[in-house]
Amino acid sequence: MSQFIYKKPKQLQEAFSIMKENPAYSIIAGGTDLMVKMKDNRITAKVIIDVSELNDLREIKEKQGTIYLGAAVTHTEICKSELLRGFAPALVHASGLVGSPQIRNRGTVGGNIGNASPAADTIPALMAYGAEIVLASAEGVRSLALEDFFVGPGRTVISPGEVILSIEFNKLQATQAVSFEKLGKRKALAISVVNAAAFLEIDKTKAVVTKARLALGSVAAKPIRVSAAEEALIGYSLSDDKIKEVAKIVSDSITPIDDVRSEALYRKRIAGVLTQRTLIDAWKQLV
Amino acid sequence: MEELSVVGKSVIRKDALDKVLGKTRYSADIKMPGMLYVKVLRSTVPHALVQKIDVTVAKALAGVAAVLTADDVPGLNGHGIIIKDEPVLVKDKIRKIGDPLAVVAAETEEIAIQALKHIVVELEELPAVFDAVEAMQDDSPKVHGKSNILAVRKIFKGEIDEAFAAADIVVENVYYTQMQEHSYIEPEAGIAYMDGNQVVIKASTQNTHFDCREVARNLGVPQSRIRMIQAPTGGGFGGKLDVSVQIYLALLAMKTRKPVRLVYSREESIIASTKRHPCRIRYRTAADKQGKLLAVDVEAIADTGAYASYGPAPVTRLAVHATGPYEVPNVRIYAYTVYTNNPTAGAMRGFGVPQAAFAYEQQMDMIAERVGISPLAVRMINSLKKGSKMATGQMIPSGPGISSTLLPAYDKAIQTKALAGYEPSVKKRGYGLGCMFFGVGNTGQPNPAGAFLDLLDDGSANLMVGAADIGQGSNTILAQIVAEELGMDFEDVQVTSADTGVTPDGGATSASRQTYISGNATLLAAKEVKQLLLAEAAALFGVAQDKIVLKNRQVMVVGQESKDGISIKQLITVCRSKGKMTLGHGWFNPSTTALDDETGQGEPYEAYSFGSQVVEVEVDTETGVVEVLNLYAAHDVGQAINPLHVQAQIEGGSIMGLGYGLYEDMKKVEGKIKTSSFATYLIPTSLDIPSIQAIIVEDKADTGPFGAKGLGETSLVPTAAAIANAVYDAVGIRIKSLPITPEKVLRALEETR
Repeated sequence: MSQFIYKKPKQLQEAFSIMKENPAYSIIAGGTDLMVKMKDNRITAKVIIDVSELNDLREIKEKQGTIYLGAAVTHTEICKSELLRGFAPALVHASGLVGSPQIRNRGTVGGNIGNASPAADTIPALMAYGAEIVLASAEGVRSLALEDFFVGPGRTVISPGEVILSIEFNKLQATQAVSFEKLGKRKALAISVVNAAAFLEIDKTKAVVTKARLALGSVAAKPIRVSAAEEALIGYSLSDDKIKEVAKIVSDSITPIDDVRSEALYRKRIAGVLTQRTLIDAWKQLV
Repeated sequence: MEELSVVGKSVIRKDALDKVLGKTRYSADIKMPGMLYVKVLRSTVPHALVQKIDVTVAKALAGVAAVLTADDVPGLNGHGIIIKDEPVLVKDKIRKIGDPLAVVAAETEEIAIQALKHIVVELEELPAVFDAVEAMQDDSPKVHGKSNILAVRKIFKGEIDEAFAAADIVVENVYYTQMQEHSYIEPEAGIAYMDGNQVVIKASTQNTHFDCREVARNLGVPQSRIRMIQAPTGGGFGGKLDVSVQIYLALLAMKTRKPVRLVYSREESIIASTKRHPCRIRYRTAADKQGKLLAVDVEAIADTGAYASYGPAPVTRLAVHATGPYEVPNVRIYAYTVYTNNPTAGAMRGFGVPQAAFAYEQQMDMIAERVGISPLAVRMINSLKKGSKMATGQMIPSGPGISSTLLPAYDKAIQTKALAGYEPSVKKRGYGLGCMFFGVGNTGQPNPAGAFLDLLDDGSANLMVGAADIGQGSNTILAQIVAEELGMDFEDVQVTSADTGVTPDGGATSASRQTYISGNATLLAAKEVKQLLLAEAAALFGVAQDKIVLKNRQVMVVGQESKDGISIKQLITVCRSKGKMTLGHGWFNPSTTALDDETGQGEPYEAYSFGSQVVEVEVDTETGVVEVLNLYAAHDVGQAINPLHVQAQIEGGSIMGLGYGLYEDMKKVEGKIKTSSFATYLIPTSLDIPSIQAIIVEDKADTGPFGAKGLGETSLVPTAAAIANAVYDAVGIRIKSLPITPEKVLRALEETR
């Protein structure tokens, strides 16, 4: 690991000025991904800016039906939050499957997103919730749909001088449900072979799907939505045949890779299985 | 039988308190003023001729104390447990990725790393071979000499062809096992310094006396000039039997006359250290209509990688145990140890037998199915037992074979099954059996160990043994043996182990041998002292020696225990007053004969441990994920010297076997390891460990200390095989290659649909 200067600003504005003065910076929150990369010299930042205790990034709150999740909230905090356990249980489930207890105590949701691993567990869950990501800089804030944030493995649209401020999504209505599933090779410290999340909104009187989001990780260069599969659900009840059809669309439309963790063909199969399982689970929550 | 006082009790191990308090100073924790930091330059290509290694720029860097290459090794420049085929520093030929080319000692670790970057290596790459079967062909690239076949172990018994011709049932399969990493918690590390003209090395190791010989040979100095001390060692499992940091440190301490320290990173440890042999095993079994075994015909090809290390020894052990714990009248085994340009395979807990078990235990289930009897029945009717002959012609010296472990493990599993509620779903459950036997100590080779015992005049004792306690607990076990024999308290016995300046050679902490062999040596040392004490006490009390009892630190006369005797301390004082010292020594070498080169016949071990495991698995038929729900592991240990240690060994070995069965796979592409960290090389986490029921069985061995046999490796041997059988029971598919991954299971399930 090369030497670096460590800065811990107390205010967001102070963080912005440090970034401006030190263009070769890296942001650190929990450090569970960054430190690994620094140890291998894959990141050689001269200045490390610690945002883990900035108040603006630490909040979990609800306002007028929208949930605000500060970027520096840890996975453990997500798992313990009464608000999120009530209104975003699939996110709680996903955060609870990240790494190990030690990693969940340090690692943050903003870090999980900013690291932009295609296998990150919170991202498909948040995409299913329809989350937006809010980026802040000295110039102000901007927000965009979470799925538009990623470019490729480790790469995002974040600009120099920007930090991830928060993630925001609407509280689920009584007609809406989200489910998350992960397949890893062991029960902890397992990077997902495939993960998947499903959002369903139904018309309760007709028992048909009115809105759907299907998000998957570890099957492409970035977390993805499968719109063809989502569209195939609209206007239908969730019969066994429909579930199989949608799972097949997911399996057929993705092009995962062989790597040290698994095989492309297996990932295609599992993407279908997890799609089925999350759809059934979301449906069961509603009917 | 007389009741035991210390043996058979779960006394708190000697090292427990310091370890839980974080006070233990492992090799990487030892620091000395003015010490230099050492780094090794390693090859990134698998096979090449070295033309030039230029270290002039590296040497000139500020803060660099020394840069050594092959030319700076004054002695043999070769090491290896069986043959010295591995260079300390490569002179002319690179045979694997990770081969050491140069070592640097510098004032800081950063400077040492910088210096490595300034070493210029010129080489000519050679075609390489990464598959053991290909490596056996005449036209394959050669790793050493003219053939890649380093050794062939043959075992022939009976008339194999006639037996197959007459058989009602023949089952033939090919099995593949993977390369497994030891995954000890502590990577290799050490420190060395000069003490006068002696080089002192403290390092993480399983065998100080072997290390000492290797260092002396390469430094070109007498062994007495090397003092090799084992630092508290965070596990070994066979991976710390080969030298790692020791020779580099000694060379650099001699060269710089300063303390030098070398600590491997996890990645360097994985790249440089040995592994479990990947094997291809073609296995053919013949049986009659009742399921009685008639013959086995086995060909095993083991990839030993670039250097021999222990290579031929685990492959020999594989061959000797290839029939499993079963009586087979006709046997033909060929087991090949083959060089490739892969990472080196050497010793690892189980030493060839887990590979064999994965094959023979699945064969047994297939025979049972063909005959129409249960997996339990086929094992019971074929079990080796006292007096039956194994493949090498040796008669099993004692015990009922597997029945004393198989039946309790099976009963426990059945009881639990009856209680467990289970709803049929996409997840299917099944049970599998795995049985094993394991010879204690090295195979048909002399492998003695020694012990010195000094009873001090306050009634306490110093025990000095070469046996390295690498966490398995030999210091505790050996102290229990002394305390039991001399009627002392466990706390009275202090153990100094694995220090060539003080202790006699204990041989390797491997082959499940220290409780048995160093235990016997220790017992003999204690008996020698006891003889002195008994003679003195008999004279003092005016009775025959056999009327004297040493117990609870007291010396008593049989039949007069209630009367005031004298303390052992007082008896030692009596000895001292007469100028007699209470010193004892002992050494023990198990009685074995070497295997015949051509027929493999012989008596390779003095004692055999048996064991059986039953596992319950749940297979997700949609994802192929296999989960072990319950593991019942019954192991015969002769006498549990410390039952808590035995339980821990059974649990630890089973967990390692679980990893071998389901998770672990050292993946490599053209000799390059792709899983060089614990992020990619997956071992079971605490959450992946099922409920393990350890069942301790005690079929005493006449030859063991208080009847004890070896245990360190046995519990790993049958686990993966039992899992494979359980998967078949659950979903009807046979996985014949390890590990049993979700990918393989799902593929096999799809093929049957």
